[in-house]
Amino acid sequence: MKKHLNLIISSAVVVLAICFMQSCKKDRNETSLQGKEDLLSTAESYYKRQLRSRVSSDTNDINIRNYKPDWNNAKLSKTAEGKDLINIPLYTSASGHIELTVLKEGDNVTGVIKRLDYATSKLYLYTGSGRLRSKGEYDAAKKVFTKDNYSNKFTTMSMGGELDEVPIYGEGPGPIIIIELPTNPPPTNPGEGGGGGGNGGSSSSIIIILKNTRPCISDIKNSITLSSNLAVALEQSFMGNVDYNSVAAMISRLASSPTWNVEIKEAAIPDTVDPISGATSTTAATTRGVSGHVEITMNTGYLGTATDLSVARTMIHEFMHAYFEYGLTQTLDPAYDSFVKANNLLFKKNGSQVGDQNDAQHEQIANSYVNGIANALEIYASTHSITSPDPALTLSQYCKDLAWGGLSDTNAYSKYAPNKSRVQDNLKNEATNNSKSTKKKKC
Amino acid sequence: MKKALITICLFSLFPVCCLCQQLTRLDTIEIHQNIVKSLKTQSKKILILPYTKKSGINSFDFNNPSGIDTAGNRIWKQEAWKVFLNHIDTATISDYELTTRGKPWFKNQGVTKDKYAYTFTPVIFSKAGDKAICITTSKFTSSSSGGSIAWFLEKNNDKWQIKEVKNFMFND
Repeated sequence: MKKHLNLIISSAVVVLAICFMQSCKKDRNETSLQGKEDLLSTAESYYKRQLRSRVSSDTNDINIRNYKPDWNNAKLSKTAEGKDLINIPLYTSASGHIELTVLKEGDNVTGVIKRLDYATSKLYLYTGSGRLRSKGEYDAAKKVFTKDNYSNKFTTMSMGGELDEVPIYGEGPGPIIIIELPTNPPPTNPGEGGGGGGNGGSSSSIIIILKNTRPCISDIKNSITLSSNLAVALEQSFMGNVDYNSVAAMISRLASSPTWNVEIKEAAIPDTVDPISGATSTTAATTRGVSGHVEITMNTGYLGTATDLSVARTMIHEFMHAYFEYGLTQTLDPAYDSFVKANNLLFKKNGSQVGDQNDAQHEQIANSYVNGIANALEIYASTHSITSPDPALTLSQYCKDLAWGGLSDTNAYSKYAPNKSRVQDNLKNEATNNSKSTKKKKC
Repeated sequence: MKKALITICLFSLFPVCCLCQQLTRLDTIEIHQNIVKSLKTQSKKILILPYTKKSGINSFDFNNPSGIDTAGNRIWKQEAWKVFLNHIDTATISDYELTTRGKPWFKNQGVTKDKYAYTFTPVIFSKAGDKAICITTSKFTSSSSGGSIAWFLEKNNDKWQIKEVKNFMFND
């Protein structure tokens, strides 16, 4: 009963938070381009002309050939001076947005590409052909753009070039108002039947539990994603900003990005054999990218013995792998830079991806996300009336021990795990639901 | 006349033969060495098992290695690679030892606990002998943690180079 009450309260807060943020979201004054084919064809001609430009070797620029204009969702808006602006989405995800805006004034047609990274609130302005012209902080609520150091490089805007007639007002170092961009979409939990909003479009369930998987998997998944969404929504409401590289935000994104699909199933996974000692060990789960989705397989044998808290721990760990797998492929995403910065252990010094990602991802989790995983586990435990079975440890400490699960192969574990034999004992107790475990088992 | 025809035939066959590069055991060794060198750059202590295990290819999708990766420029999306990968007959692949006359190709110094043990699958070569794919599966010696990686290599100027790496499975 208490668990249900907690869930109801949590859900209510999430829903309220989402409604609040939706109400703050100001609509762009846009109309459809239906019946205005001449404007659309003007924009298409402009875009095709840009494709003729040579590909820039400057890494600050973008290659427009990597993006596919979404002509079906092109919208018309007006500048303050009544000039026609045709806005064409080039790339949209939960973490950012890129669009081409074409300005038509008489026979003159110019354009600008805007790239907004929600994680950093950074706005990048490019010429229609993808050359970086300006960047800075963008306050979506006030619709104010403050350029980074007003350097000489950007003064070329007033010296000719494609940006001349783009309506950026208030040239100079102070705050300047620019064409409106979509605001940051609130996190949603489509799996719960809500969703909608945001820029993503689809509101279908993103983390799917396959048939013939025991019901507890769905319950645990729902609880983890709901509390992650709640944490992100509250952070956004109260702090006005979200750390997109937190465990809650990662899970929330995984659970709500229309193009990030995860399927969870259960199947028997054979024990692994230590090539040196010959000892066998049970694999709790595997994660792999297959065509169109990430597949998480929970081992039937493990599910048969593990406590709910242990299953939650494993699921969060696999979600981290799934998040990294998607993150690594999103090189065109506006948030890719911040993903790389936050997860530098996945990359070599030259920027390419580390060869053995299993090892690298475990190091990254162990170095950056153990506390976040522990927090998520503690919330799961609290909302399911699970307490620490060890009187010497608080629930928080106990969950932190469990958060090290699957990471004993890392250097960070050797350095930072508090009491390794206790950690391993607690992990084993939970994996086997023995008398020293939390003993809560639905699976 | 007959002599001339034979000469023409021989000359016309010459480029075809040149396309099929001769593969030797050294090619296999060089590929394993390149992969080990790449793994070692991650600074972890590693252990190379002295034999191949064909079963490592079972979970790899040769027809669609992309998984969730939608990038269009991956090497396996090139036509020649597609043809190679789609025509691999896994039934004909046999395991072998990574040793020459009992001497292992890779020295595993201080074989103890807490290392990543890597098992290779046999190297699979394209018919022309200019492409190769090999899979490694890893397992941490004191836990069930590990993963599977596909390595895509090409032979250029008589040297094998790793062209693309695809991590396709994470255990635990």
